[in-house]
This record gives sequence, C-alpha cells and structure tokens, in this order.
Amino acid sequence: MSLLEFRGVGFEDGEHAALRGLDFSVEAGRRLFVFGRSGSGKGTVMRLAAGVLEPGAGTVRLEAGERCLAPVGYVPREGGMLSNLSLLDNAVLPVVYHKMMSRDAASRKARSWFDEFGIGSQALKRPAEVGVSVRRLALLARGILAEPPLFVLEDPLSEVDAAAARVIKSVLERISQEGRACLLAAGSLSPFEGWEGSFLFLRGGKAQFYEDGRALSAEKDPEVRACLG
Amino acid sequence: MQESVMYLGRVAARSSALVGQVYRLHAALITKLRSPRGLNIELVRRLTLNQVLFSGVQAVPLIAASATLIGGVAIMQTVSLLSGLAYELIGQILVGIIVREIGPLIAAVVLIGRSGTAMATEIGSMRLNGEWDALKAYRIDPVDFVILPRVAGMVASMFCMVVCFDVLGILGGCGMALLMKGISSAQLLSRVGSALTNADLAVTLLKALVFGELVATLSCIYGMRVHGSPTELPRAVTRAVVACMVGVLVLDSLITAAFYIL
Repeated sequence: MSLLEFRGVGFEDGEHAALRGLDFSVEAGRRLFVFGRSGSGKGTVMRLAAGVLEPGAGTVRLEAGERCLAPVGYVPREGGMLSNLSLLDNAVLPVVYHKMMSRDAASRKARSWFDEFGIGSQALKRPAEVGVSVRRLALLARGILAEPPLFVLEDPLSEVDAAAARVIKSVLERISQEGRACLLAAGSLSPFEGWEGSFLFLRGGKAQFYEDGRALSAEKDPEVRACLG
Repeated sequence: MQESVMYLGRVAARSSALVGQVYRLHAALITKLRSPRGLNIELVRRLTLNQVLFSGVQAVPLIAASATLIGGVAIMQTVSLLSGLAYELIGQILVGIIVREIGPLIAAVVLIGRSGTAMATEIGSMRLNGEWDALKAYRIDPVDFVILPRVAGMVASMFCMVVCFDVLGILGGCGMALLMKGISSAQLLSRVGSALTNADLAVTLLKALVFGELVATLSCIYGMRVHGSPTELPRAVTRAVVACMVGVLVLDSLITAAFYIL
C-alpha cells in the first residue's frame, strides 16, 4: 500500500526550487532517499510531502487513515521548533494539541525518549540554548511521539555529532522495522552506505528513480555518482 | 505627472491587496469560531490569556500614567483658554476629549507600539525559523494556534486599556481641576456623569473593538508576509506600524464622523 504518492507534481513559486512532473510513491515499511545537488529541489519535495507546501500541478496523496491526526513525522534540517517553548514542550505539542495523549502522559513518554537519546538533561532548555545534534534528536522524539505512518527527514545526519548520528540511524532502522515509511533527503548518500531503500535523484526539477542500491550503483552519470560520495 | 499617477496606482493596488488579506484573515477567524472543529480550546484559551497578560496587564502602568497626565493637561488647557466658562463645560470636555477621542487613540498607539510590533516580529521570526512550517506539518493550523489567540487577546486587552484610560483620564482631569481651581471632585464627577451618554460609551467601545482587531490582524499579516530573509523582518515591522497608524486614524475619523452624522 502506498503511504505517499506524488502524481505529476509540479511546483514553482520563485522562492523554492522548481519541480516538473514528479511521479513516485512510498510504500509502508519502505525507505526512499531523495538526493541531488544543492538547489535541486530536495527541500521542496520534503515540504510537499509534509503538507507544508501545496503542489502547483498534480497531486500529493498521503494515505494515513482518517484517525491519524499527525500523519507525518517531520524533521527539518533547520528550525522547526517553537523558540519560546522548551524542547520537551515542543516534542509533546502535536500530540497534546490533537488530544492524542494527556499532557502528563505525553511528557512522561517524551522524557523516556529524551533519556534514551541521551538528551534527558537538556529537555527543559529552549531550542536556541542547545546545539544542532540535541535539536535534531528532540525533533525526532517529537516525530516518534506522534506515531505517524510516514517520516519525512531532511538531511538527518548533517552537522550532527557521531553519537547523535548513531542514535538517529538506530531510530531510523527501528522505524522501518515497525512498518513505517521514511522519506529522507540527503545531499550525499555516503552516510547511508549499505542502507536498503529506493532512490530518487533530482536534477533541474526532474527526477530519476532507482528501485534499489544495485540499480543506483550501476549508474554511470557523473553527477549522480558525485552524490554517492 | 505620469510618475505620480503610477505611484498612486501602486499605493492603491497595495492597499486593496492588504484590505483583501485583512478580509480573508477575518473570514478564516470567524469560520474557526463558528465551527471550532479540531481546535484545542483549552490550549487556545491559555495562549489568549498569555496575550492578554502581555498586551493588556503589562501595559497598565503606561496607560495609567498617560491617561492621568493627558486628563490633567486637557483640563489645564481648557481652564486657561476658557477661564470662567470652562467650569460648566469641564464634564463635557472630558467626555468629548478623553472618552470619545483620546482614550481609544492613545490606547491604540500603545497597543501598536508594545504589542503590534512584538507580534509582527514574532510571527516573522516563526516564518523564518521554520516554526510555521512545522506547525503545518503536524496539522496544527497556524490560524488556530498563532493568529486566533493573539487577535482575541489583543481585542480583549484593547477593551480593558480603553476603559482604564477613560476612567483614569477623567480622574486625572478631576484631580487637576481640584488642584488648579479647587473644584470638588464629587461635583466634577457628577458633571462628567451627566455629560456621558450611551452613545459616548458605544463610540469608545466600538473604537476599542475596531482598533484592537485592526492592529492585531495587520500586525499578523505583515509578520506572515516575511519569508526567506532576516532583512525582511525590520521592514515588515515598520510597515506594520505605518499601516496600523494610518488604519487607526482613518477608522477613527470615519467612526467619529458617523457618530456626529447619525
């Protein structure tokens, strides 16, 4: 079953990178890596998938079930947290807002994730008071708490320290094992070497799809190969 | 000549686009209030109270000081300009100046300076920092979570600020009359009471409602227009202040004119 489906998606607004006729889908339990050079439209694809942007042409369909109030676990590369709330309050905001959990229950659950990620002591700090790695892990905890069927992550391993990268990788593994789908954007695929999944290379607003790593490694295009690291 | 016409055309186009945005935002807020499906009322109530605390409660010292001083100055000028005649007119002058005009206007200026600028900056920063996008990704409508509590909080605060200004302005005027001419406060307050009509109260409260709503929505709209670059933020705040000031003065003139015509 396709959790996310892009059909003939086009986008152009002058601010974000343009896209033309994009077609792909992400099945439950699958990973799709979206890669390409800077400015190729990876961020635009992620925002369209997360429902932050509306496509100019075509359709983006998210099959999340009617009862799913937060269908996407969105982990942007930068920002994405309310600056006047603590990391913990940011993490529980979606589930508390949608009344999926009581505030106390959500806080307890978020705390346990923060502890598991090794950032429990920073839970009450505000986003500006912590580094990129802690912020990224808190964003991941927010996504996990909402229990969405699809995760959308922009460059999750960029600028984070080695310990945070290990945690993020193990969480992503667990997400796939639980049957959730993952859409990952990355400038370079080298941090994900050996990972299973499909691949979507973006260039000039158009996309080239690769079913798996074998198909990708057979590619001779130098621009694609440059992104493989 | 041609350039002037083109400039006026651009101003008219921008103004009509702004009026359209104000209309659409109001329509979204009214729709949300009429059908609050998906709205976390408890959370919105808490955020509204926070806004009232910032925009209303924390502005009380400034409103109190300016109301007392302006009330006193109004009486000082009246007494010195009109000499003996003034004593009979003090009640009407205080109602006319403070309740109908200066109260709502000064409260609006305080609201613009303290809260409108803060709101435009906050919302602009939220846009720049991806906070707006994150809310949308988790299906939290920014209109529910950001705009509605701020607009409701600012309108409620404006009501309280205008009432506070009117009361303290009149008391300041009475105090000055007592100091300058030894007129008893009880006598003055009874003159104010007899000069004050239901229409005066309706005008001051109508202005509070309209100004509060206008300042809140314009500040939100200018904040929401920020995207892409931090240099847009100060420009958006400046434009929000100018638009709010012009809007308040225009609406003040229209409401006052309507009050006298009707």
